[in-house]
Amino acid sequence: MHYDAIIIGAGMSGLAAGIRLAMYDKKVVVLERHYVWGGLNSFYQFQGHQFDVGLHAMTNYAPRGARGLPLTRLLKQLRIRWEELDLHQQGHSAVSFPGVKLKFSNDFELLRGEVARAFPGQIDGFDALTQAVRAYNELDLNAPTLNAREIVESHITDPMLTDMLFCPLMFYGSARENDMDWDQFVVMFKSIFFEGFARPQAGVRHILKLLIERYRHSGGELRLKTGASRIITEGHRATGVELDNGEILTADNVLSSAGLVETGRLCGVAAPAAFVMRAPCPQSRGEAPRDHAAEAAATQGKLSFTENISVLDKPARELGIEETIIFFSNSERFSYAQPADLCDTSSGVICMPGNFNLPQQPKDHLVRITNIANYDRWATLGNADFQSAPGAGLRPAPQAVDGTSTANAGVTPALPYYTAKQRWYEQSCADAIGHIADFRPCVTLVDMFTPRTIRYYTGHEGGAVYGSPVKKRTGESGVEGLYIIGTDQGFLGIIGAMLSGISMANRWVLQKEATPEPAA
Amino acid sequence: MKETTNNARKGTTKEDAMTDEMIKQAIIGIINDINPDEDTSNIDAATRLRDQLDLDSMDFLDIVMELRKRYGVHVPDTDYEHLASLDSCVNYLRDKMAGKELVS
Repeated sequence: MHYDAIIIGAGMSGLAAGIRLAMYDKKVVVLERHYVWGGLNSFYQFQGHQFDVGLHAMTNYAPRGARGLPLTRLLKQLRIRWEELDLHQQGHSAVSFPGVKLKFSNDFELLRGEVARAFPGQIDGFDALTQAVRAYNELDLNAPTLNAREIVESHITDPMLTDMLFCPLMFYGSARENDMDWDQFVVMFKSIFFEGFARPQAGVRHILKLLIERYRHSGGELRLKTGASRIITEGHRATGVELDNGEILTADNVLSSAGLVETGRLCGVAAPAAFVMRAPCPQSRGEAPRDHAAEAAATQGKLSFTENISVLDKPARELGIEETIIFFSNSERFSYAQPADLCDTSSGVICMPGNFNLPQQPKDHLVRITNIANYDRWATLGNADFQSAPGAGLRPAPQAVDGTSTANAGVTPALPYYTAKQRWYEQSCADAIGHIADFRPCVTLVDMFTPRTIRYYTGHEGGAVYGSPVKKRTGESGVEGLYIIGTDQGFLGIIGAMLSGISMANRWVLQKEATPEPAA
Repeated sequence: MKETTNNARKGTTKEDAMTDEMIKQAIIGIINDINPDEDTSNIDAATRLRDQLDLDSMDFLDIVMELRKRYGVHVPDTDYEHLASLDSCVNYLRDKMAGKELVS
C-alpha cells in the first residue's frame, strides 16, 4: 500500500497532522501501537471510574475570536469551532514555596500583583522579563538556542522568585533538567501565565473525540494496535514503514511522533549517523570536535513522573481547597532533575479538576499529584507482590505518615512494584499537605501511574515525559522524507503538540506540494 | 477521492463566466470556512486582507489550498502576493477562474 504520508503515533500531534493532510486529499494513515489513541494524553477506566492520563489542564486558553493566539490558530487550521472545545476556565492556581504563595489566573494582572506584593524589590525586573517574553517571536524556527535561566536571572535577582516562575513552566513541559531553552520558556510562559488554563467538562476524552471525528470525516485512515517496527530508508531517504506484523507500507513522507531517539532507533543502524544530533546548550556549539556518544546520551530525556489520583468523598472545595492547580516546592530552591530515589516528592503539581469553573460538578472528586520520578528505578522493580495488590489497588494513605520527605535522605531499599507504589503514594500525599488541606481522611479510592506507565503510553525511552532535551524545531531528521513531529519537534503542551503536527504537515507536505519542483 | 474532486470537476463544466463579484464571494467563502468567528461583511476590497482580518501565513496557505481543492486553481508560492486584497485576488484569478462555478 502506498501513501502520501504515514504518521507514526495517534497522539495530539499525529492526529492534528493527519487532519491537515486528509483535509487536502492526501492519502494518509496514522499508525498507533495501542488500542486507544491519545499518546501521553489518553484516558482509561479503573474500577468503574474514568481517569485521564497526562492532561491536568489545557494551557493556551483564548476567548472566542481572540486574534493571533495559538488556540485560535489551531482552531482555524483544524476547522474546529471554538464552542466545540467546550472550554471552561480555571478559578485560580498558585505556585507555593516555603512561606510564599503566588496566585495566578487567566488574568495576568493577578500574578503581577502577587509578585509586587511578595517580592516588592523584584517587580521592575519582573516587568522587564515580561517585556522580553512578549517581544520574543517563538515561532521563528531558526532562532539560536539560548539558556532561559541566564536571561531570567539577568532580570530577576531573587533566586526563589526565579525558581517559582520556572516551577510551573518546567513541570508542564521541560525536557531539560534545571533549565529550559529560552524559546521553550517563552512558549510556556505565554501559554500558562499570559493565556492560562481551561478544560472541557469531559476532559481529554472530549478533545480526542473531536480530533478523531475530524480526521475520519476528512477521509484519514487510523490503524490501532499497529506498531511501526522499522522505518525503511533507501540511501538518505525514507521510503516507508515496516509494521510489527511484517507488513510493509510505502510512502512519500513519514511523520514520526515517536520521539527523536526512538525515531532514530526505528531507522536502524543507519540512524545515528544520519540523525545529526545538535547539543542542547549554546556552550557546546563551538568549534570543539563533536563527541557523538556524549551527544547521543544527552539526547535521551531523563525526566519522568509519577502521578497519583485520589478519589474523595466530597468536592475539594468543601475542604477549603480553592485552587485549580498548585505547583509546589518544599525547599526555596526548586530542583527539576531526575532523583536518585524512585520519586522526588519534595516538589510536585497538585490538580483539582473539580475546581475548574465547570457547568456540572464532575462525578468523581479528584486530587491528582504529580512528582518527578526516576524511570530506571521503577523499571527494575519486580512484580512479586502483584497477587497481594489485585488490580493494582492502592489503599488510602493513613494520616500517620507525615513530616518531611525522605526522598533525599537515602535511597529506598528495593521494594516490589506495588509495595513501592503504596509507599510513594503515602509519601507524595504527606509532602503535598501544607500546600493543600489534609484530604487523606476523605479518600475512597486511589490509583497511581509511574514512569513505566508513561513509557507504555508514549513509547518514549526512559519514560521521558517530555521527550528529548534536544528539539528539532524545523522537523528535519537528517533523513529526507522523514520528519519529527510532536514533543521532540519542540512545541509544548496539548495545543503546542497539535500545532507541531499541523505546522510540520504544512511545511513538509502541503507547502512542498504547493511549490512545484523546478523541472530537472 | 472524495467530494472535493467532484467539486473541481463540476467547476470546470459550467460555461458561465465567473464574475468579479463571484470571485470575491469565493475568497470570502473560504475565509468564512477557515474562521467562522471572523466578520467578513465589511471587507474593503482595496485594503490588504491581512490588515482587516486575523489571517496569518498558515491561513494564506489554506486559501491557496482551498482554491485548488474547490476550483482546481494552482497558485505557486511566488504568486501569493497577488492574494493580498480582494481586488488583487480578482485581478489575479479572473482568467484562472473563468468558467468555474461558485462552490459554497
